[in-house]
Amino acid sequence: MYSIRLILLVLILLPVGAANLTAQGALELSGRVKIGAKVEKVERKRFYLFRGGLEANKPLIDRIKAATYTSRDCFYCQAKASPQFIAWLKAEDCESPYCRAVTTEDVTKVPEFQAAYQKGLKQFRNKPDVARNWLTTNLTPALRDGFYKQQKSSITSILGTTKAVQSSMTDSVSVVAIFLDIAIQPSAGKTVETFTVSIWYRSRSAEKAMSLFARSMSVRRKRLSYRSFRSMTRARRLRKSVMSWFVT
Amino acid sequence: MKNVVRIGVIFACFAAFLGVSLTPETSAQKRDKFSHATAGHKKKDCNSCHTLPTANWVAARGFPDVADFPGHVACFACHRSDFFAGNKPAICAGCHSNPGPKGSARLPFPVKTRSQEFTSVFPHNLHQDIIAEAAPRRRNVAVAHLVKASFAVPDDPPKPTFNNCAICHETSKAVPKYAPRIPASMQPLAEAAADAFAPKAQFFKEMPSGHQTCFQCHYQGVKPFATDCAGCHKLTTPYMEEPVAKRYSIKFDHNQKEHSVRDCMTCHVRISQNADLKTLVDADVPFITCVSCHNDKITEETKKRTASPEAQQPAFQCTYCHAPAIGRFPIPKSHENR
Repeated sequence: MYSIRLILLVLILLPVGAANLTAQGALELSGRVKIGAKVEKVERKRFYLFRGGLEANKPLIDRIKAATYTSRDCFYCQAKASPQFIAWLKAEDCESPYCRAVTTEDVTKVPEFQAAYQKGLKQFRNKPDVARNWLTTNLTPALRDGFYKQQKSSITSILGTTKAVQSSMTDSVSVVAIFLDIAIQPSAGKTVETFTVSIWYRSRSAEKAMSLFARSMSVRRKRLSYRSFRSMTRARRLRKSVMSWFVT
Repeated sequence: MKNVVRIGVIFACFAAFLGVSLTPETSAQKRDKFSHATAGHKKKDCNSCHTLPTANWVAARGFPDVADFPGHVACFACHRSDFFAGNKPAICAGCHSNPGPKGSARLPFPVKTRSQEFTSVFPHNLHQDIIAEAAPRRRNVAVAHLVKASFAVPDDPPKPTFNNCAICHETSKAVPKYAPRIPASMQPLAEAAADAFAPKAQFFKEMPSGHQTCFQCHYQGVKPFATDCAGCHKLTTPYMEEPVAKRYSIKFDHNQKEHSVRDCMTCHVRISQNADLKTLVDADVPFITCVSCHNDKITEETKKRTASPEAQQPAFQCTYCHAPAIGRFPIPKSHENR
């Protein structure tokens, strides 16, 4: 399978002043991940933040490891999409027809688009612009949002009853996700709270990721004073000093 | 004599009372009496009155839409007697500009001057997940390799248009109504200084105001369907729509060179986490995203602010990002803790 699942787990330590248990903080998460020899940018993808370290989140991690990931190509082959449709998706690395605008040229080249367009013309009183711009409304469910729904359902079943503190999306320029206003609640007698970050993601350099699949990276721990975490922008430092990727 | 005055006063009061109560309602007042929130109307399904699309959609919108009032049949079952109440039945004024048996002309739909009864819910987080994926870069392209030189105009394929935030939020073509977003929990330190700053249209982004953008995906097939009005619209206390762009930092220019090369998600962090804008308490753009580039200027201004009372001068008003209407407020914690 060309596309595989890649789960990234990051362990973050949020130091807290023992006296100030209602402290809030922010975290910036770098989406640049080293897979094999390459650094891959995980852009515009949603990361989930969980309370507790890897130990505390073992059931979640076990569910991640046990879950199966159906690749985009595999999904659309099973949905009996035409080679032209799959080629259209692959041309710009899209996961669904919502990714980019369908041009008139695309309509002539991709049979599914052509069929949906013709259906739209009939339905929308021969208005070509409406038929083309609203083309996805006449695609079959599997081709329209089937892959997205499958991904969502995988995430829902992996999460189970585990509730993420927050989720945030990386941008495509600095490839950073920011978690804001995180309430720090360390357990009694502790001054540090540990968090885990996870994502459900298809690696672009799949073959490299395959070799990493069974390997796990060690998680570096480092204590910082509460003062250095308190300010939002100083949290930026955590990105470099505390986090390292756990890839499974 | 006193009695004459008394009678005069009583008569005047009575005349005034009659004048108020007998003044005919304007058609706008009558029209505004229609409420979706009555017990009878709330029992009804939206589709029992509103049809999609209405017969006039081609001329009125150019795309299939609810572009007209419901037909008489929608009202008749419950309001039959109201249709025959006098020469100009009040019920007609709900939809017709000239109420009465001969007045067939209808008001434009929807009536923009009447109060809104519904709010719209748009989960930005869900839409970010499905449409706002990264605009992928073309890979396997050699960089800095001169392969061929030519003076001919290259016949490049058209650049694909990726669906992301800009699909709904285009750069404004005209300056909208704008106002400062006054911090609710703070008192200003001084009167706002005079300021001649005027934002340009490019500082603002458009917001979808009709069904066109939503229906591109939700007309059918993807829930909420176009026929499921309640999928997006929720009844609320009637309000008058105020399309005013309220800003903390009115001087932010989306098209400025350094800003335009960034991704919306670089700064609009909270929007990717938000399922309903009405629940968004803090600014969508957290201060942390400004600091990475503008820290020097922000430091300079905060220093001036701190120094001004020490030098027995009026509070320095921050104007690098803010208009004085905002720059005169105390420095918020987010700015101090950077």
